[in-house]
Amino acid sequence: MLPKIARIQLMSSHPQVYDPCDDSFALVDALLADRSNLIKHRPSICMEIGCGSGYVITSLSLLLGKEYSGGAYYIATDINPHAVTVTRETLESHGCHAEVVNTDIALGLEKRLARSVDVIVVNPPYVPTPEEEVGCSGIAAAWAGGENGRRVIDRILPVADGLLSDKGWLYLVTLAANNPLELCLEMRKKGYASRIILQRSTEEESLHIIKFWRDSDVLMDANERVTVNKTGNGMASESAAFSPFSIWRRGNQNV
Amino acid sequence: MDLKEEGRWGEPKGSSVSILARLEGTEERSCCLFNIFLYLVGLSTSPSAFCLRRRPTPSQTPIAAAVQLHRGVVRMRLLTHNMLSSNIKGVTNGFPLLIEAVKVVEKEVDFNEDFLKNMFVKVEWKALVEASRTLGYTELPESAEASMLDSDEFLRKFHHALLELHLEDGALVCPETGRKFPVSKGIPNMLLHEDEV
Repeated sequence: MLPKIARIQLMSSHPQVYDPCDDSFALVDALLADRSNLIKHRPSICMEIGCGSGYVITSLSLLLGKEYSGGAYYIATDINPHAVTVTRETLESHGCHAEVVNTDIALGLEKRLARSVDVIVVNPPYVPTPEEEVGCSGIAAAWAGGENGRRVIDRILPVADGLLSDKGWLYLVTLAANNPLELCLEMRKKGYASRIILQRSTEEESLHIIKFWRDSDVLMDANERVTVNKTGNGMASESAAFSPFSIWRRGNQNV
Repeated sequence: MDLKEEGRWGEPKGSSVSILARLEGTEERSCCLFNIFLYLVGLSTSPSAFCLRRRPTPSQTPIAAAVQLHRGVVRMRLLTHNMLSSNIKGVTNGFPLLIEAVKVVEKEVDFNEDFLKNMFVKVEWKALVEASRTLGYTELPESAEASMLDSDEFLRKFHHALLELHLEDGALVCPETGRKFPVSKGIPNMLLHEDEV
């Protein structure tokens, strides 16, 4: 019994919309691998920022599926008006429901959904490109990430921080060139623990799927580092370093 | 996508990719990588077993997809209206947005009590009552509290207003500036002009 995900045969498409590719598959595979946790998480609001073809939000809705009796409210946003239409068609052909909004990141939703969203998935435009390609109209906006591919990611993360509920999780696709290490450190300052839950080298790129979640230990730990370096907080520091990635990060800090 | 495909900013090829070099199409390749991962961690008996899952069967052909498109069309529901507000620069109270309905459709949606209870705490009740009246549904009580969720009659009305009244075409209007956010084919456009950000 395999959980269902979106089928390529049922995908809608448009010349101006990014078709699902290795990055989309990597994100969905990461969600599949985390599926039992997601079901236990019992999210009531799930959101995708930059839904494109709708492959990811449809898969998320299918893999949480009927087993999750509570049912979640799914919202998908995209700045590209063709993409929201294609997402709507993809959802419909799979018999799924999600609310689709044509907007920039989460403009218009931020106020009412503040601290309410339990799961956010983002496959951002992460490809390093010339700055002028960022946010242009049409399909290039689906990948153009400016310097280090970070222009749009750096705008999305503060918005996601505002939207995520106390138990909220964020899944983010990044490229090695985006400096995932630095992203994790920045989110750590905001009180998020993080873990790379999937790494995949394709022919063209090295993809990392990072999962972020709020963690009071991390926030405490970060604050303590900033203020006073107490001698008695050795245990607290250790407890924050629960993922292999944290150890790597700590290792780097020592260099 | 073309840029990514060309690999202009590409990374060195991973070793796992070479094993799969004979496979054509990113879909199978991605699928197989995941299979091999499952195989290695002992969740699958064969590294290729899961490949079957994305192969087309007769019922999944594009023709079948085209037919399904005409079923179950969901447009903008009042639940979504309840989550939207005007974010124009300088606007202090952009909620709730007024509704200018051009086309409204009613659609039956599966009843899910848990979902309604989850959503009840997120919904701004007064805004929902006003919005449902704009769309011609007047059955909702003026005010509501959590204890009313035990009443099946209340839940049915709440369900209908929240999920079954769909705005297909029209506009959402900022209560402060009168700026219209168009809703076309059930999709609201909340994008702002440069001078509004």
